[in-house]
Amino acid sequence: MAENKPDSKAAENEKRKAFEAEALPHMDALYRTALRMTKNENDAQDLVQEAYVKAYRFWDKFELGSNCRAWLFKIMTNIFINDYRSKSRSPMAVNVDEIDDNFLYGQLAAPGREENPEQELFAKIFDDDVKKAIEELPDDFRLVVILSFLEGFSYQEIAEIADLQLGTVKSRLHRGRKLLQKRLFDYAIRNGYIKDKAT
Amino acid sequence: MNCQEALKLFYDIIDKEASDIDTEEVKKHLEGCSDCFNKFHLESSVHAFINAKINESKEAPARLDDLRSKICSKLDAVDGEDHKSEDRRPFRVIGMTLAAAATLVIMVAAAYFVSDLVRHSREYLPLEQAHFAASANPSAYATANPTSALLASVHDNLSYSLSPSVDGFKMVGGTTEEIMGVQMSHFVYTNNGSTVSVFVIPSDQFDIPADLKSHPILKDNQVFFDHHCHSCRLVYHETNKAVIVTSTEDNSVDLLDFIPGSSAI
Repeated sequence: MAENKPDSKAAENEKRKAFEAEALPHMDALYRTALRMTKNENDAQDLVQEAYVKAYRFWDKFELGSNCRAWLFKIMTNIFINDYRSKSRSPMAVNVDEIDDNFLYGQLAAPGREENPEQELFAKIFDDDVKKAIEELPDDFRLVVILSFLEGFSYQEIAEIADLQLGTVKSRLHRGRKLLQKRLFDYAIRNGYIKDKAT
Repeated sequence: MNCQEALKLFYDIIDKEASDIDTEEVKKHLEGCSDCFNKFHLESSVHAFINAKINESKEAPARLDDLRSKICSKLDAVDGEDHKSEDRRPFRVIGMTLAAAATLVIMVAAAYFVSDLVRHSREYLPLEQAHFAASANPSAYATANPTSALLASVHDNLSYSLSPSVDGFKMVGGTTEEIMGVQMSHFVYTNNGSTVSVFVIPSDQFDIPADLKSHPILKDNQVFFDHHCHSCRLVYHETNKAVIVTSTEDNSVDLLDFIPGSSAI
């Protein structure tokens, strides 16, 4: 019986080592996503820590060799949706469907513009504008946009992480993009982009 | 593929989710449709731009180090909780030991019970059954002058004189039986309700079961071995020539009284 303790201690060390080797390398990614989800450094740190504690507790449920990164994101997304979302409700109430799919194209495709009209637009969009535009997305859209744009997850992976239908992922991503385009265009105008330069 | 169909696949292609066939079809369409080509070009440019901007901002390494150490101390705390629950484990270990011990006791008891049953069926049950047969029908054992005549006829060298009556029991009679491959005399007493059997077995042909010998009863300088069976009681006594076994299902009967003393030889 006396040997039991060192054994369980060794098993625990083994578990900790495996967890740190498999899960900790994804911390940077989790944190940058957490930052954009919570829009707040303290919340993001708390969220990531909570996710790691939960993942560690459920480590025996994780199948070694499967996608640890997606598994961690799923855990974190779950915590975010359940505990953080209400705190950071988006103030932006937009009827996404009012935005024309070709809004940006319509704005840029005025006759007489140069080969790559969007470059002029991009020049008037600052780093903070992009950050802000993303933060202003409603939570549901922001989540899939971040997972896709920032983390490069596939539609299927996002569906599993956020517990959504594949079609919902695609439509949220689509509408999230349209919202972003509209916002970024507005910021560009504010920053001095001249809409009808050609005329 | 028309413009509408191509447009629907733009984001799938940008996100590298479209199939090769769809991608090829869209490309073909774009070659012949400048409007769609420009739209597609814009969408992928905007995507690349946002993507680049999003991925541009790097978190300060110091902040990440801080986060990492916070996580590690949280994990330490989780390990600590496990230790706390481990501290409670001695009880679990005791519980498991008790359970194991109980299992062992049960198994030993079961093994003992089984071996006892086996031995019982081999060493006691034949006598018990013979007694039950007599008990069920004592009159079958009736003989005119049971004692000396019967003994003399079965065992020439045995001359036990059994009392015709003991403690209110009267001898019904006796017969010779082969039990466990041994020829023995079987005498039957009754008292209008209970029955007592007395078996007289040549000692050179029968050994008292060894497990009984560790619990001898001493009475009047004689040694008896008492055995409570599952439904009746047997008392063994050995003389230099014979083993005498008495049996009854009536617990109030003193079986020792039915054993003829060595003086009776």
